[in-house]
Amino acid sequence: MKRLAVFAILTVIVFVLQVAVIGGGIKWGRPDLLLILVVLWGWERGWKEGLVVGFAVGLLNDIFFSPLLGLNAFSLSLVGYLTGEIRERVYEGNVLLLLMAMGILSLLDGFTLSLLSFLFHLSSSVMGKSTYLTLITALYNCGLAFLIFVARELWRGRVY
Amino acid sequence: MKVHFKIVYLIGFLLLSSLLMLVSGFEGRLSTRTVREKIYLPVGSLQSARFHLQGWLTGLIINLRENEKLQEENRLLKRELAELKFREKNYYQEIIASNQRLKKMLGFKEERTHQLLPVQVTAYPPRSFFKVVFIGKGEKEGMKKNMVVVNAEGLVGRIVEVYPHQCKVLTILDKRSKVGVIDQRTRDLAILEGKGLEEVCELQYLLGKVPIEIGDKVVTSGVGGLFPKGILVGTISRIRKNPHRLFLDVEVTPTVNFGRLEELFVIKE
Repeated sequence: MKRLAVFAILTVIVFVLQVAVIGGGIKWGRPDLLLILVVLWGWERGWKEGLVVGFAVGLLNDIFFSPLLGLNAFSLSLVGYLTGEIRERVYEGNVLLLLMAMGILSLLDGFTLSLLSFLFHLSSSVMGKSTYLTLITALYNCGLAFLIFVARELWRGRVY
Repeated sequence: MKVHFKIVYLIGFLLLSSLLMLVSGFEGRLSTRTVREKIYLPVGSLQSARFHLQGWLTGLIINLRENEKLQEENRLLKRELAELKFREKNYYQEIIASNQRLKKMLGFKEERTHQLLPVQVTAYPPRSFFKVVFIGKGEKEGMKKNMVVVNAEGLVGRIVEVYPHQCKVLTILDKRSKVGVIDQRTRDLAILEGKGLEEVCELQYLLGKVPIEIGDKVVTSGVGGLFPKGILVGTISRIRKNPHRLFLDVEVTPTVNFGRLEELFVIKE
């Protein structure tokens, strides 16, 4: 119950920050806080919660902002699941592995969304010129994930 | 065994998402309007507050850093304004009057000037794969579906969803957007379509023999009646002739900077 409340509060904060504070910035890219939330949750809690959280966050985004229901839910549930899978195979305290996972999963998310958009006639090509945008988003995501990781370690008293 | 269990879970969620996509994709009727209405208003207010704060801070910093430069600029602008006022009173009225007279003589229909309603962008979708923005006026402020949205640089898009105090604008970059346009130099008609994830648009149905060139300006044609005639859309940035195709592949770079949309205008019918 407590975890559900934490999830709900975090999701609201992340949505508000993404929409109201980070805003547009299309040309120079922007961090994807929803994806960061899903990856960090999956990294912390494993594949099952990663999958469910990814689906829930994606579906919320679809309901409020996407022209197609299920699009972000598909992509983010895949990301959440894979994060948990990666974590099971590596040491979770290794920040480099987390950053690598974040980068790869950001790219995978960009590609999945691009492919699905193309299949449903919402985009005229797969990736194309948007590749650089996905790359920049992946870099932003890695940077922010690093900061969050360090903050979390400080909170737990592991870093002095 | 455990691996199978995991895969079943994953496939279940992915299938559920795919089913939702298929249902909403084919019908486009899975109504999420009520929940959207509830969320857009507070989120819109927050973003609006952010814009105000950002504008205030930027203004403050500029004032502090460039006070002297601004004073000089202000002096020059005042002089320019006085000159323009003088011209308006002495020359332009005469030019407008003679233009109207000549048009009447030629039997032209009187063109109406557009009434512009200022609006502010209140929100971008969290993930920027769809080219839509939200503006801070809605049904209660007189907004209607299909009203055209512009800014000082040119055409932005049209309103596709209207809420009590919010509207959703489909920009010309979106794949679902279609605009009747004309090459300003050659007067060739075409349809402008967004390219979705890319920051450019493309011209459809331009025959291989038309004499268009890179750098030509593209404006709305007024054909179809949705978009008023003559609004600047963009410039032709790439032309590719494909010998196996009847039509040219033409790319148009919009004049509007979609990464920095803030103050917009809605054209009132």
